[in-house]
Amino acid sequence: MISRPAYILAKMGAFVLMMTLFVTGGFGTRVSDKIYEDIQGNMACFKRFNGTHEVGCTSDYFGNVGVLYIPKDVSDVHWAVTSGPHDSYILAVEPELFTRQVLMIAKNSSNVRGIIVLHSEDANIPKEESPADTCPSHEYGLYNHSSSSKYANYCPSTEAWNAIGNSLLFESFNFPVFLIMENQSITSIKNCYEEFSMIDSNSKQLQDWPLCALQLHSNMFGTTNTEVCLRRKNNNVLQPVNYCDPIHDYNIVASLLPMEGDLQDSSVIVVAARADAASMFDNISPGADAAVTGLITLLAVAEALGRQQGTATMRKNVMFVLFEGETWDYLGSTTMTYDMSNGNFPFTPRDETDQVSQFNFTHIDFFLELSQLGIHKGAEETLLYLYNDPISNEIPSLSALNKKIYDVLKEKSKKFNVTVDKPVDQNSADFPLPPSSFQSFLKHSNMSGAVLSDHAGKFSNNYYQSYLDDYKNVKFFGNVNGTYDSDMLHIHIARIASTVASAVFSLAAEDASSSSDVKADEMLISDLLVCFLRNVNCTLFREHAGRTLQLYPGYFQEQPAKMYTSVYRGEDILTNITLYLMGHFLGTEINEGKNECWSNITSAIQKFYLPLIGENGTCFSSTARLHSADSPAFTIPGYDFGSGQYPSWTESGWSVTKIRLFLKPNPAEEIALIVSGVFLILATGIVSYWAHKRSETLFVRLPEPAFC
Amino acid sequence: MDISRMSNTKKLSLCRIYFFAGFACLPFMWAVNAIWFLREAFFKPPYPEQKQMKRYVVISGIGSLLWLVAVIAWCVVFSLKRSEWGEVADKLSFIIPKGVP
Repeated sequence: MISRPAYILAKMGAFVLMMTLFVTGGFGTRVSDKIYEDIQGNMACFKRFNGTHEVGCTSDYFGNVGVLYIPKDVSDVHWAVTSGPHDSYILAVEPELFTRQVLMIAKNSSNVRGIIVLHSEDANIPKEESPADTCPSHEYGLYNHSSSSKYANYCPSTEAWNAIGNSLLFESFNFPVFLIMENQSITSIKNCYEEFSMIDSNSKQLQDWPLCALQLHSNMFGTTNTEVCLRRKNNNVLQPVNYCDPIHDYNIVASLLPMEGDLQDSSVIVVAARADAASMFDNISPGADAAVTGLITLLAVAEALGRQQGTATMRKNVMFVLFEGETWDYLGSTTMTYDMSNGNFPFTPRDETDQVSQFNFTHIDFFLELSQLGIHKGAEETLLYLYNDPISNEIPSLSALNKKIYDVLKEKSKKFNVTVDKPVDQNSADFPLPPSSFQSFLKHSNMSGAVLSDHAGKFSNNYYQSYLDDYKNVKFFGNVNGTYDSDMLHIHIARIASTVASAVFSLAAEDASSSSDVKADEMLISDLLVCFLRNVNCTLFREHAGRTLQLYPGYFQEQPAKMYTSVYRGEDILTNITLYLMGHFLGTEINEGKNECWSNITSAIQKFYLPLIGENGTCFSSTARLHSADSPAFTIPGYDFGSGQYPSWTESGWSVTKIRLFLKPNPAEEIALIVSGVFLILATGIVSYWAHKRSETLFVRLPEPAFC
Repeated sequence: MDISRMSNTKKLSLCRIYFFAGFACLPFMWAVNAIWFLREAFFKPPYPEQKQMKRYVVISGIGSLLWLVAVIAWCVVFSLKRSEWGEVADKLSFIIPKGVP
């Protein structure tokens, strides 16, 4: 029996405890919030897989913890790895120190547990930084090692297209790597470091405990390779886990004239560009030069040619193609050519009433690819370089057509202040094709064609597939509010687009002499540049967002477009907007309301409704359609992922990526604290037990109160 | 159930049921049998059924120990070799850990 004073004490204790819980639970902050500071605006490096390997970064299941260390140079990194006194470090580096050398030192060390890149607005940007390979997607290209052509080893032995490429995108790290671009977060980290960790700016050493520490959390679910993680995803029935998803998006295909009936051979001119870029980090892939400039040039050409509809009888049709996922071993073009060779393009034949012409390689007259086009020298003139495939160029009929295209482009270019040139390599021989989607087509069938780009020989882009390939890289000075006074890029792009549009028009029109020059719309180009490079929440994008504006309102913020391909149902908003832009440029307005417009859509007739165009919205009918870039690797039953025949990239699933900053006490202190805590609990138990056993002698027993 | 109140023949028959049930790949039957009847078979004043009971208890005990060793060995081997065995191991798993090869 509990004695009365003990009971009162116990009751009072319970009351105090309840009050404490109530007060802290209701109005206070959680203990974890007092200990940790969440670092906002972080972008994690994540894992990807191909048929045989895994690449990218991951943290442990509960995140990686280490003492914050900000090295000033490589020697500081060496010091931390070889003689740093602490068990684990998180290195915070400036963009200039984010090099392969530093990452490899960290990878081979035992005490670097993670890396964060602090990219503040005023950070010094490295002169060059490309995480891609020196020969991008070489093994899936036309001149791969197993091809018998004499160009098999051209890259890298004669010319490395992306000579500065450090291949970090294809390196696997078993620690997390984050990019932080938010100034406030960077300031918090640096302030903590200066206050608690740094002795002075000359010393490599850190202060005594407590020290600033970071916890980086970016645990990836997938491992090993695409085969393993997809198998686990499909096997796991009881508890579905998103181990990985195939990298996927849609190619965009549109033609100037509708394609009906049987097409004649060599009756279609293909104008193509790539619509994707990548970077090591989630949520940032500007691809300004790598993708955006070519993509915008193509849109401008489509718009300019769309304006000419009805002005001339067309001898040839023009097909515009935007390839997705070209970063990932030519995913888009590989899938398209695979479908073409199987008679499934633009889609698998269905019933006869709902049909468009089947399209394959024989229908292509020539293939004109708009590659990287953004690096420009300013107002004077625009330099444009043209590449042919030297192997197919040995066939007389193809080389004659190649020459004709070159001549027409040269002739048209003069009117727009453009110089088109065919560069030669160090042996004064023709270059083979640079990395391009055209290579996927040539792997199937010889055809005439050219790749246009801003580089003679190796890339002039110093940030290929880097998060730094942004508007600054292509010197775009048009600002978010839509003023372009000082900008030259849109003029540069307009010149190229006008040249290409005029050349293509004169080659496609019936009467070559009547084909006047086709001028691209400079204002449209500058609007597009603002939308893609600075602000996806621009008027042009909002107008062409269609239903995505309501479905994904979070997408429309002032930020550059993300050009990363992503996964099925990942981020295909941009693809939809691009499709609608293309459909608007090439299609026709039809007089249908919203509901009517969205109904009666067949495979042959593509329609879409844009509510923000015109007074009450406008319905467009066009040839623009999506073509799903499902790699054959995922559609062929029993495909051997080790064969390397088709692109087989997947992206790992993950649940959370976050960074927390906190002060870490001396490890001895931490152990002492937990030991004393355990001791306290045991001691309280023993004392309580002892007091309970002796309550009769310890406490005075009051007489029971009498009944009233 | 309180076996102390049972008759000796009942005890033996119960012990026999557990012993034979254990052969249906039910090692817990043997484990229970061995522990439950241990005192009855070895430490109680002698009675005729004990002789047979002792055999059942000893064999059940050895059987359950063999099972224990086999199961532990399998767990260790499977954990160590899971990633090496690839598809077979994935098919044998109910829950595959995230982010582990």
